[in-house]
Amino acid sequence: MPKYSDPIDILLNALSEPVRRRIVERLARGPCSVSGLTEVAPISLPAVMQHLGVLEEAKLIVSEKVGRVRTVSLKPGALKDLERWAAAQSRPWERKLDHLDAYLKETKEEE
Amino acid sequence: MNMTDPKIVHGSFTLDRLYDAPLAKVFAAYVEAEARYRWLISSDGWTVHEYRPAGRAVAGAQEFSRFSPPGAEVVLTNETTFLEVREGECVILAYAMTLDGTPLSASLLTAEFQAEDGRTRLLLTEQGAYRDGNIEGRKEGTRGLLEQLAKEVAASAAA
Repeated sequence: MPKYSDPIDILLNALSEPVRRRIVERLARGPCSVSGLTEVAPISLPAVMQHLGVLEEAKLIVSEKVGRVRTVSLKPGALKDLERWAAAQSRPWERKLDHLDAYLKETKEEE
Repeated sequence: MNMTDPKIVHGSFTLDRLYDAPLAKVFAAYVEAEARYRWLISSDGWTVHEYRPAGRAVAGAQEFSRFSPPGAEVVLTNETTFLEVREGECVILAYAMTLDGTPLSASLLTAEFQAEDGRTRLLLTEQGAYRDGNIEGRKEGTRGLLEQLAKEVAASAAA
């Protein structure tokens, strides 16, 4: 597996795998136990652990052990970096035209 | 066939937006200095070092701005000349940009305005000559911007 150092590479690599996306989608609805995550796809517990390791490295999830159960949850704002990256790739003029829209809305309120 | 990268790439692109505002208002926001400063010049968190507005936007009027993107030390300039201004219909302008004093792009930008049931459609067409800036040796902070510019050039060339 290639080694990634750029945060966006790590993030997009983590999200490039369908099972890991199912896990993220499941966690977006709320925290889940590790064993509970085996239900998002027909996979074994060790496979889930491996995917969680990748998601944790990408700073998408956090896990906490309470008693004998390890609970996994999505980090708040986990996908903000992805949003920022996507926004930065739009053409400058597209963003400027969005700003024009915002300006028109603001001045409408001022009237 | 010449396999080296061309020094200048020509391209064009069109953007189409529908604004929920009457045509007169959208047109005014597009040409008036105070509005342009707000939505065009100082947006995106850019630092504006200098802004010389065009005054009244008529053919021949010029606008100049000098600015830096957030967190970067590079300085960009934009020199705009209004070529044709038809109230409520279209604005054609030419603008040239520099990056740290080096020419970056020279473009012809046409904005066409159409009223649609109280809303306004803005059609923006850019035709330009873009230089593929030498990104070697530039500071890390400017990388994002340059990547964006490079993508712009590539996308425009492909369009």
